[in-house]
Amino acid sequence: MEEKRIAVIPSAMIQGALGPKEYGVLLTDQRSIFVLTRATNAAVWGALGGALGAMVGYAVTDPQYVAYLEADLATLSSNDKNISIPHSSIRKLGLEKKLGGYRLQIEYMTPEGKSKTLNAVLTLPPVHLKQKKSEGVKTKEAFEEYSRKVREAYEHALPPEIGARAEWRI
Amino acid sequence: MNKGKVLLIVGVVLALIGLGMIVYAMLPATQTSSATISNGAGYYVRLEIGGLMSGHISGNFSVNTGTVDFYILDKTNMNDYHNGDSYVSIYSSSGASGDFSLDLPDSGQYYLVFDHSATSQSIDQEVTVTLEATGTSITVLIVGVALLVVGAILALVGVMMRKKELAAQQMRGPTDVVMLNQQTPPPPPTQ
Repeated sequence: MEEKRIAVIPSAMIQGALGPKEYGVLLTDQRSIFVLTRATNAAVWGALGGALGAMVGYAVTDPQYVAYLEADLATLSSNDKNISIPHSSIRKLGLEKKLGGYRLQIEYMTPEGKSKTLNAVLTLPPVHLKQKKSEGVKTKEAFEEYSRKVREAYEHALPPEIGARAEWRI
Repeated sequence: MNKGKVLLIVGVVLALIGLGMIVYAMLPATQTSSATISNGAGYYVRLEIGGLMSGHISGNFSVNTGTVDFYILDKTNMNDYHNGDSYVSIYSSSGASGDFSLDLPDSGQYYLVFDHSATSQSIDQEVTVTLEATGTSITVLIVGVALLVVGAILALVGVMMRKKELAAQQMRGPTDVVMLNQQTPPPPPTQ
């Protein structure tokens, strides 16, 4: 059966060894594909120029545009920079409001049989936030709405038995 | 490369260089130099120092043979000394070697002058001076501050341009959670 694209989450941040990495998430009916859109290497910039260097590193790194509708799923999935998590491998999934923002946590089994946990912080694209603010929506409310939509997207994408186990604390 | 990115990088680099120069301007400087006073009356050697805020100099000198007269003069008195007119030194000593330490009265130019003493007029004398100067170098400080300010302005402009560039880039992709399962075509880019 052909894999269906269900939703796109434009931005989520995952902390990497060399600094935060920004991903877009393409949800299909079979998996979540975290597509790397921006790797800042903040640690390298930070080593060069401290906090200022890290900020500059982030500012000068261009985000990549991903054609989520047209891109070949197998190609996206097999790209080493991306993270592909089949729904069937998910042991636990949760979205929780924490001090640093809304955190998406997925515990899953790799094809090699190892247990891994992905921690991603939902981030609002600045353009979206700016638009919301111009509509009189507060930042906190914009994040709440965004996290609700992320939840809906996952509820649509996940098989019912996994969706039923998901924990939503937003 | 985008203009905003270029401006931001150039601005930050300039600002960092400026910052480095400001720090450098306040660091003490040490130098050792040697010079030979040719034999005969009227010959002397001098070392110039100046442009220091809250300047202080210290060091020592030694001569390979005979003795020398040592003076520290400001610019006006240096001219008088050179022209053979009467002069006033802010420091003086004589001998085959010696130490000195004094605060400079202002940020003007000063000269360390070594001349044959009366008994050593007929010999070549090599003087070695070790000098440590503390204080803030005004010229380096001004250049550093200027670079810092220009760099900060460029970086600020770069950040503002960069924001617009990034916003334009982000408009190319989804800016909100997009549901695709309705099998409807995606919303057209708003740009």
